[in-house]
Amino acid sequence: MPYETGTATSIEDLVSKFDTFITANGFTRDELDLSANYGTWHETGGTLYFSLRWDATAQTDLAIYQSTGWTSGQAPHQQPDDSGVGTTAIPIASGRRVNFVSVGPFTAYHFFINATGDYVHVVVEVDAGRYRHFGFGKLTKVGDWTGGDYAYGHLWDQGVAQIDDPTNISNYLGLDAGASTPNQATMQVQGLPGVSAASRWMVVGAANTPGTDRAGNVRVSGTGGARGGLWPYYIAWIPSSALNVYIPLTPIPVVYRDKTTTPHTWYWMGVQPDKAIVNMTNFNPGDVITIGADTWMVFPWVRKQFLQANTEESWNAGYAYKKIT
Amino acid sequence: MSWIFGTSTDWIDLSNDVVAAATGTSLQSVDSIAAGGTGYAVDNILTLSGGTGTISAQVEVTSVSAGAVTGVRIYQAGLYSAAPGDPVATTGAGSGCTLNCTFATNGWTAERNTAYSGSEREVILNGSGDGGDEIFIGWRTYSSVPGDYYNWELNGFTGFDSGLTTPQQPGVSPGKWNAASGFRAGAYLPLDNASIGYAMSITPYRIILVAIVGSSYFNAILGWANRYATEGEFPYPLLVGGCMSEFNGTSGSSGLRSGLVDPWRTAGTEGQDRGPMFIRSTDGTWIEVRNAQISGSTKTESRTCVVIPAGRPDGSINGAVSPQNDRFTLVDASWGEVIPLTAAIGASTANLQPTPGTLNRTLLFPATIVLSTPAKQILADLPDVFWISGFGAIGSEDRIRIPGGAAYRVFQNCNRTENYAYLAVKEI
Repeated sequence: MPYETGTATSIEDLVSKFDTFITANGFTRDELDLSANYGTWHETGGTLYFSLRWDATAQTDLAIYQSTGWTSGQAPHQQPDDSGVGTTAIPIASGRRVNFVSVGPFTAYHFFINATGDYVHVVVEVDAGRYRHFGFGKLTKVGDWTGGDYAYGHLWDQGVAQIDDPTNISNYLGLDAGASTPNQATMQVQGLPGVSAASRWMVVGAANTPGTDRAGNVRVSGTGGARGGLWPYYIAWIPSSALNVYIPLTPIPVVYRDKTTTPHTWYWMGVQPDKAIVNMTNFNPGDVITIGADTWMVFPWVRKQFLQANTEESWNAGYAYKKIT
Repeated sequence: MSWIFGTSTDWIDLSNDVVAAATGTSLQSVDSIAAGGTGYAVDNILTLSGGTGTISAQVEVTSVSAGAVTGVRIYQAGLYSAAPGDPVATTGAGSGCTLNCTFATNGWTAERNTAYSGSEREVILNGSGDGGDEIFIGWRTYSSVPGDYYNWELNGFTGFDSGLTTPQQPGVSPGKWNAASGFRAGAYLPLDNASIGYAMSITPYRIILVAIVGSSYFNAILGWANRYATEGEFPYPLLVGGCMSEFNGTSGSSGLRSGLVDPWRTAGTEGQDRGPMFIRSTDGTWIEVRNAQISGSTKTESRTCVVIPAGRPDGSINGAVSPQNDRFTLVDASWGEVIPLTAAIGASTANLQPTPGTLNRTLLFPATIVLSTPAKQILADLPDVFWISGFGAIGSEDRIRIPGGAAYRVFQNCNRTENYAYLAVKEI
């Protein structure tokens, strides 16, 4: 089944169910060590490799890693060509991760995957009405450039100035524009203009210095996502039409920004498959949208709420996921 | 569906040519290759023989097998009073290629095509749409030798009454007919009293016209937009789009013009009231569509109803979104770097190049009308019109050809020269 929902008692239970689901739907497990609290998987026959790691003693965070291969016995951050954004240490308190702010049990999870296993997108309802998103996949590319494998986590800043503001640059989610490394999404790229031969990674959403990967190779900057301008900049915020309640499901683009030129040069790289941005004004979390033969499920970024009372909320910002059954 | 290009002698002759094309018969499709012939190569242009007409149809060869044609795409739909019969012979390049074709009328009827003042023409056309529709559009030519302008006023209507003058027609869109000085702004097309090249894309729903005056590509659209609604919800999405809002503007260098993908109206008494594009709302009013108002080389952004991506609707900046809980975006990396939204017209701070790879893909971005006030809404797309970045090896009259698919013709937007002021029109 390319879509699955259920409950999880903990991060470890969530990972276990995630493993069962994706290995039945186009991904291969390289390693899952529940005693060491990490696992690595890859797209069967493909180049998308990713790892998850959690903390046995304070299981509120799930670290997200991306690599280009797998070596047995190595920790996630030591896998080949590691993108360099996941933590190297336990407890997980830095780097790209999902900060659930809860040890579980989790109210619900939703796993989305397509028939050819091009991605796995995960939505977790941590507790009633409060969500997290993470995922891995292959960009639907424009052209035939090399790369396109992506990984993203979800870090929602708990500071009083950030926790109730989805436009705050300290909140990281999706293939999205945040402020700085190392918490952002990564995408594998090679051979792009202005990119050294050794470079392997784009840091999606890095407005500033993209930094280096684990091996010290320079990463490049990308932008896009839900908050990074371009197409979503124009229409993602639009609520349902007063005329007919139509609402745009806005594709999530990724654009490469070559900073070696003056002015900078942008290249439109593609869009994230089967995921879109949506204004949730007229939707509740988990609502289903039917468009022709397609079915989409909508979820808030963290919580559909606008109180600005120092609790997690993301106003009307939402994601829609294509539900393939 | 026809892509027709040619040359008119002046602004009045262009009117006659557009009417002839809209009401005439053209090549609609090549249904099969009757004989592949010999000696052909991909990209050869073949001219169809036979029939009676003013413009012969042409096709371009898209695939061959050992010199025999195996695939073609329409390059010029032509214009006929009597279409050639199958198999249609061709000339050019190799020899022996014959085609089985479908010719048909282009879907418009001239309700009025007369001189109304001297040699100036007024035209009202009725488009058949899906066969059960009636889509009323029109234009009037006018000129002034002292003023050195030779223009068209563009209009849309909701019906036609032969007993009424053009300004009296039902539902007429805003324009010069208002007569009072200072309230004549509308949708206009600046032309010339000299040779004008043209390219037209005609379907029974709409006419897209690019008029080539010197090195400028003045553009217009008349007909239905592609609505984001059902026919019952938005029954008459009539679009009247020019590239100038002042009736007495010229096609010379005295003013910047900008149409279709980035409509600008002109500041000043005759231009700043409205225009240069209108879409008819569901309540029967005409909504002004514009991205900016231009004064000299300075523009003032407009956001009420715009064409994206060159325009920027209200909600696209955090501070401008209302209510606040609809805010999504950050502003640190915006499209505004590629298409500057600042008052000064000039170089962008980032260039959008074709996507790298062995294919080097140039992207076509839909030109979409977005309404911010009074209701946030995506209204419609400009049919078969796209914004395109002029960075990279792209220039006016270049063609973007999709393997196995359609072709698109690139034009700079009127007399603008920035690399972000280009549009592409699908060759149908």
